This record gives sequence, structure tokens and C-alpha cells, in this order.
Amino acid sequence: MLNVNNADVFYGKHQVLYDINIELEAGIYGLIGENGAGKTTLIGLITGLLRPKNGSVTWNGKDINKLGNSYYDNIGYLPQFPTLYSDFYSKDFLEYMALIKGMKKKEYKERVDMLLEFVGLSDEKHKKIGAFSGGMRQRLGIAQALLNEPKLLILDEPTAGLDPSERIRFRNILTDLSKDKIVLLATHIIPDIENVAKNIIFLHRGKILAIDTSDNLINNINGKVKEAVISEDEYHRINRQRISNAIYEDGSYKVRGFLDNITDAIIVEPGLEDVFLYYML
Amino acid sequence: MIRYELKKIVNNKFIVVFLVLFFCLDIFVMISKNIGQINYISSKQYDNYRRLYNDIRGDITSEKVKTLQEAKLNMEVYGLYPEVAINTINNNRDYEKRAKDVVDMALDNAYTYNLINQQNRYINSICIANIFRDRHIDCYYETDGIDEYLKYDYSTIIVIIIIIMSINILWINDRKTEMYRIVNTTYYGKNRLNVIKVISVLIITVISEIFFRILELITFYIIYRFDGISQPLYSVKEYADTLYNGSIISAMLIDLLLKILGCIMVSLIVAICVLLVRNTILAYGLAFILSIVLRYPVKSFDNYRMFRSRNVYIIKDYLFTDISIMILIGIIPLVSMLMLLVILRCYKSVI
Repeated sequence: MLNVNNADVFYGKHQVLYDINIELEAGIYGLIGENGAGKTTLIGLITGLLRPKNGSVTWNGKDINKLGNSYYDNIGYLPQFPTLYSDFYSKDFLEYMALIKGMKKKEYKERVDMLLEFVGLSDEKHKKIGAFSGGMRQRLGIAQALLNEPKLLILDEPTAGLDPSERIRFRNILTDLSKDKIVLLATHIIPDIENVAKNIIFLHRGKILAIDTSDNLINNINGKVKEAVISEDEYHRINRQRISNAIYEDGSYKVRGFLDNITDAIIVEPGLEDVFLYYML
Repeated sequence: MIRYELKKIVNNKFIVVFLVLFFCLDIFVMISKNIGQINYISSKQYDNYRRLYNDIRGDITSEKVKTLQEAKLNMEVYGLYPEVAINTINNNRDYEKRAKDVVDMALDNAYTYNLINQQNRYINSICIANIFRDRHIDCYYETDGIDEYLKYDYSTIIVIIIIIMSINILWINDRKTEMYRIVNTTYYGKNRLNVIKVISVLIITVISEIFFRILELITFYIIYRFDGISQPLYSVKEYADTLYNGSIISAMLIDLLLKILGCIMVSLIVAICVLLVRNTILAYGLAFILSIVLRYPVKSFDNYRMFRSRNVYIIKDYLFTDISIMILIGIIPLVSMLMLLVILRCYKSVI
């Protein structure tokens, strides 16, 4: 179990995370927030790259700073836009990562081949990473994160820049992984976690707005999300920040969102994107 | 792990291109600085003289001198080369007497210093007398070019640039590409890996220095065709007064060792600055200043001056020359390396 207890994080004098309290157990957690919300900073806190000015981060009740390097036996981390080492072959890269994770040769030899198979890169093991597409790099990044069979897997924007087929492939891999570990998936692309993450953490400007299951969060805004067809004039008049989607058709706009001021709007079933918008308002 | 760190450096396109470019530049500089010598050896007469040289090299005998004197008369075939050889042989023959004169003068000085109770100078003079005692040069070899080789130092700049590029690849690139986020969240990423990287940079430093020094030795050999490197260093005219009694080859090895130790020190300075200072420009600036400041007491790149030095130091009844002092000071980089390894084992990087 991972706990973040009353943590404040500063960059110099500028506070970036405010009184963060999180408890993570086995399962997939979606960490959602707009760009600049503090997702990567929160991940830095959890991975020990950053230290809180106040508060603490504990793993199974022990402060991670006191655990030292042994904490990293439990972590697999894939940061945003991993460039990896372009001049390495994929298999060499995984073997290198296995060594710096403290694995012995007899431990990692089979595991490297298995993981390349798992992420669909076993035919590319003798190709240099520099020749990989973005999706292939992401998959290799996931493979390196899984080398040491971590109990805590942290993926920061893992689908950014991927095409739809790569994103589907990634979601399928994620589902296989989540059985007995904590998976923290940070993203601002809601569809990527909508059907995968049971628990959602909403982060906005360094503060946690909500932590709950996606079902509960959606149920909380039941009856508040509406759709309506409005004229172009009306569209330019309304508060766009309350609109989650708008489609232009034949001179009018079909809008969806929190349309309290539109009388003939009809109530629709909310989704996670609507929840995100709700907390941004 | 070292294998992979070395791979990062060796596989880097920029280093490969740089090496090829500066390999060619190094050869170009050597050739252009010694163009006079190339002209000197480019004549037919020099080729004829070299054939004669094969018979007269080695122990000086009256038959060989006679051969040279006969060749000297045949200027059309041999040019002035035999005359130069004869002058060198005469100097070699006279060397024993000159050395004896130095011994006699040193002993006279020792006597005087003893009388006026200046014990340090007395011991100094006795040491000089002992160093020059029994010196003689019985052989003739072409040793021109050895001084030029020992003076030549441009490759040190190339090696320092290689050090900076290697450190850039191993540390700065990780920061720029954010690979440090992955690396620093592994078991060995914060401590042992830094030690491995330092060792990798040192390996590259040593290999680069040896490679370029051998390249230079081969190039100078081709230009000058020097010979007799098993002879004492004092048989080379520029080092006639050296306090070093070892052979030319041992002097070359000491020169190489000191250059390696100097480059190791530069590597460690740059590595420490890059590890401890987040800002890359500041780190390199600090490393540059430290390297210059430390260069003065640790002159391991101008080694030919050290071999020509007549300084003798008496420290706690032990005799030291500039050469032995430099070797001892050269150990400082090794001690620094051990200290750095200890620091890195304890260092926890925090952003």
C-alpha cells in the first residue's frame, strides 16, 4: 500500500502541490488533470525524485526516504515521452535496465525475452531504438518498467502521441497487468482510462479535487449533463467552459455539457469527460 | 554495466565523427609543424645516407668513423648527412669528459658548502655528482625527433574534448532527455551507476590518451626515423644535462603515465562539477577554472621541461628531482578518484 500524507511540494518558493493525501492499493488508478495540474510532480513525489516540504510518502507504512534504494525494487516507472537510448538495441536496453535495477543475469535473461514477447516487440529485438516508432518506444518503455515485477507501476501519459491502434494495444496490455499491483496511470486523455481505471484521482492546480471510483464520480453528476441544439448566435453567447462537446451541423450547434441556462436541453447519461469538466468549473 | 556505459560513448555518432576529424587534424598538425624535417629527409642523398646508416649505427668504432669520413667527401651521393653524423659522434665521445667535468664541479661545490656548513646545498651537490658519475655514450643513433615527440602535446586537448563529450553523453543527455527519471528510480541508479559512469569515463580517457600518443609516436617515427630508444635519455642532445638516467623508452612511458594521470584529474574535476552543479554551463565553467587552477601545481602535460630540469629537492634526507615529484603528485588523481567514489556512494541526487 502506498500512502501520501499531507504532502506539500515546492519548486523553490513556488508551491506546486497542496496538502496531498492519497492511499493506493492494488488496482488501476487514473490520475487525471489538465496540463500543468501537477501530475508529473505528484509522480515525482511518489517515486522519490522529489521530496515534500511537509508531509510524507510511505510504502507499507515505512517512509520511502528511510527505505532507500530498496523502495525501488517495488517500482516500475515510465515517464512522459521516454526517449530511451537511441543507439541501443531493444534487447540490450532491457538488459541494461535489468542490471541497474539490481537483477542478476539468470533472473533477467528469460524475463527480457518474455517481456519483449508480451509487448509485441520480440521481432524487433535486434533493431536500434532510434528506428522505433513512438508506439514501439512506449511499449519498450512499459517492458522496462515491468522488468523487476514491480508492485507499483507508474505510467505518465503513456498514450500521448500514439495512434488509435497503438492506444488500443496499450489498453489491452494494461488490463493484463493490473491484477495484483498498483497501477497509477497519469493522463489528460480521458478515453484511455475510462474503461480501464476503476479509481480516479482528479488533480487541478496542485490540489486533489476528488478521489473515488469512476462509477461514483459519474453518479454524482447524474442529471446535470445535458445536450441541446442551439443557434450559432446562442453558441457564441454561452459560456464555452461549460461545454464538453460541440458539433456544427446545418447552421446550428449540437452541444453537450452543463447547460443549466438552456431550457429545452435534454438530460443525458454522463461520462468521465463530463466529470472532468465538472471539477474544472 | 560498464560495458553498456562504454557502448553509449562509443556508439555515439558525434564522437565517431569527432575522432575521425581530429585524428586527421592531429596528423596534419604534426606534419605541418615538422615540414622542415620532411624536406630534410626527402632527398635522394638522405636515402643513400640511410643505407649507410644501417652499417654505422650502434657502437662507435674507428672503422665506422672512417666510413663516415669517406662518405663526407662524396657530397654528391650523401650530401651533408655524414658530416652531421660525425659531429654527433664527436659529441657522444666527448660526453664522458663533460659528465666528468660536471662531477668534478659538483664535488668542488660540495666541498665548499660543507666548509660553510650549508648542508642542503652540500647534499644537493653530492647528488648531482652521483647522478652524472659514470655517464658515457658509446653508441651512435639518430635521436632527432625524440625531443619534438616529447614536446608535442596537442592530443591532450583532443582527449579533454573526448572527456567532455563522454560526460555529456553519460550525464547531461540523461538530464536533457529525462532518462534520469527512469534511471534514478532504479536500485542502482542514484549511487552505483554514477560510480560506473565515472569508471567508464576514466577508461575512455586512458584508452584515448594511449591511442593518440601511440599515433603520435608512429607519426614522429615516420617523419624523423629516430632510433636507439633503449639508449639513455641523456644521449639525446636536448637532454644532455637531464638528471634522469633512465632510457628514452622509459622516459616516453613516464611521459605517457603523467599525461594519463593529468587527464584522469581533468575527468574527475569535470565529472564532480557536472554531478554537483545542475546548470550545465556553470558546471563546465567551474570545471574549466578548477582545471586551470590545478594545472599549475600539477604540470603533467609539459613533461619535456621536467626531463630537462636540473632541480633537485631534499625532503627529509630523501632526494627528489622534478620527475619523481611529478610522479608522486600524479598520484593525487588516483586519491581523488577514490574520494569521489566514496562521495558518489553516499550521494543522493535530489531535483
